[in-house]
Amino acid sequence: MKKCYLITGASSGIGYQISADLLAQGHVVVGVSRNVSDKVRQLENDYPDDFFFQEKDLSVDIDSLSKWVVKLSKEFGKFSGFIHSAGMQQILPLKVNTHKHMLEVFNLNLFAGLALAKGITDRRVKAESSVSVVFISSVASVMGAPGLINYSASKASINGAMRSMAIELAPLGVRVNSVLPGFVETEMMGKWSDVYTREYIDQNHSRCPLGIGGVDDISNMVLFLLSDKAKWITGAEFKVDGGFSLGDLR
Amino acid sequence: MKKSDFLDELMEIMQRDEPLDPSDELDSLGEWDSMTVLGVISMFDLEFGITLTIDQLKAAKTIQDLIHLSNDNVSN
Ligand SMILES: NC(=O)c1ccc[n+]([C@@H]2O[C@H](COP(=O)([O-])OP(=O)(O)OC[C@H]3O[C@@H](n4cnc5c(N)ncnc54)[C@H](OP(=O)(O)O)[C@@H]3O)[C@@H](O)[C@H]2O)c1
Repeated sequence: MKKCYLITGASSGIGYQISADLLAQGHVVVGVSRNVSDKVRQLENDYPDDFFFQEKDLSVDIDSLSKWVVKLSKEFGKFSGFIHSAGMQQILPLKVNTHKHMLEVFNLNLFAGLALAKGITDRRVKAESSVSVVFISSVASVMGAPGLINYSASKASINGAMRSMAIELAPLGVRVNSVLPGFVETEMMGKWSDVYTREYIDQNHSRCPLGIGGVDDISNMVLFLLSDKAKWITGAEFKVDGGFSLGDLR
Repeated sequence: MKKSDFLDELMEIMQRDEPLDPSDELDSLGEWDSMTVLGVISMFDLEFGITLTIDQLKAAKTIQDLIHLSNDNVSN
C-alpha cells in the first residue's frame, strides 16, 4: 500500500538515502532541508508524482513547525511515518562552549524533531493505520569523544524523549524508535577532516569491527522500523555501527 | 483572554478544525481524552496562573464550565 512519509535532512546523506529507498518502494515522500541539492533535483525528476521537496530551516520558529505539518498533510495526505534525520554535528571544547552554541545544536537535533513529531501525531495528520516515528540519533549518545559535548547531549536527549513519547503515543497506534548510527560515509563525516587530525580519524575507523558503514546500512534499519514487520517494536534504540560501540579493548 | 482566543486554543489542544461552542458538552467531543485534559491543565497554568485539579475538570460538563474555571480571565 502506498504510504506518505515526512523526512527531514532529505537533501543529503542518510535522509537522502531513506527518501530514495521509500520512493523506490512506491511511497510518497515529503522531504525537508534548507537547500535544494543536486540529489533533490534528481529525485524530483525521477519521481515527479511522489517526491515533494520543502525548503525550510528547521532550527528557527520551532513552535510553528507542528502547524506547518498540519498544512502539509492537507496538501499531501495523511502521514504514516516521520524520520528526523536533519542534524548538525558540532565539535567544540567545553572551554569555548556558550548557551548560543548549545541552543544551535539542540534547536535542530532535538527541538525541531519534537515539534515535527507533535505535528505528525496530530489526529488531523496521522494515518488511521499505524504510524512509525524514527529519530536518527547517534552512537555519540551512548559514547563520548572530545568536543562532542553538545552533540552527544542532544542525541542522548532524543533517546530519552523517544522513550516517553513511545509510551504516551502507543494508545494512538504510534510507534517511536531511535537509530544510533556509528561512522557512516556521508557529507557530514567529511567535515571531521576539517577539525580532527588524520591519525585520530584513522584510529576511529580502525575501531569499527565491520569497517565504516554506508548510508544504505542505516536506511535498511529505518525501512524495517517503518514497516509492519516492526509492529511490536517501540521505545527502542538500535545501534547500527558495525560493532564500533562494542569498544574493542585490544 | 478573549473568548474566541480561548476557543481557538482549545481547538488546538484538541487537534480539531471544527469550531467549538461554549455550550458543547465535553463528553460528547471525541477529542476530550486524558491527554486533552492534561493539555487544558497546562494551558490554565501557563495562560492564567491557575492550577486546576482533576476533580474540578471532572465536574466540568461543558466548555462554558471551563470558561467559568478561568475566574474571569476569559472575557467576551
Ligand atoms: N554520518 C555519520 O557518521 C553519522 C553518525 C551518527 C549520526 N549521524 C546522524 O545522522 C543524521 C544525518 O546525518 P548525515 O550524515 O546524513 O549528514 P548530512 O549528509 O550532513 O545531512 C544532514 C542533513 O540535514 C539537513 N539540515 C542541516 N541543517 C538543517 C536545518 N537547519 N534545517 C533543515 N535541514 C537541515 C541538511 O540539508 P541542508 O544543509 O540543505 O539544510 C542535510 O540534508 C544526523 O542527525 C546525524 O547527526 C550521522
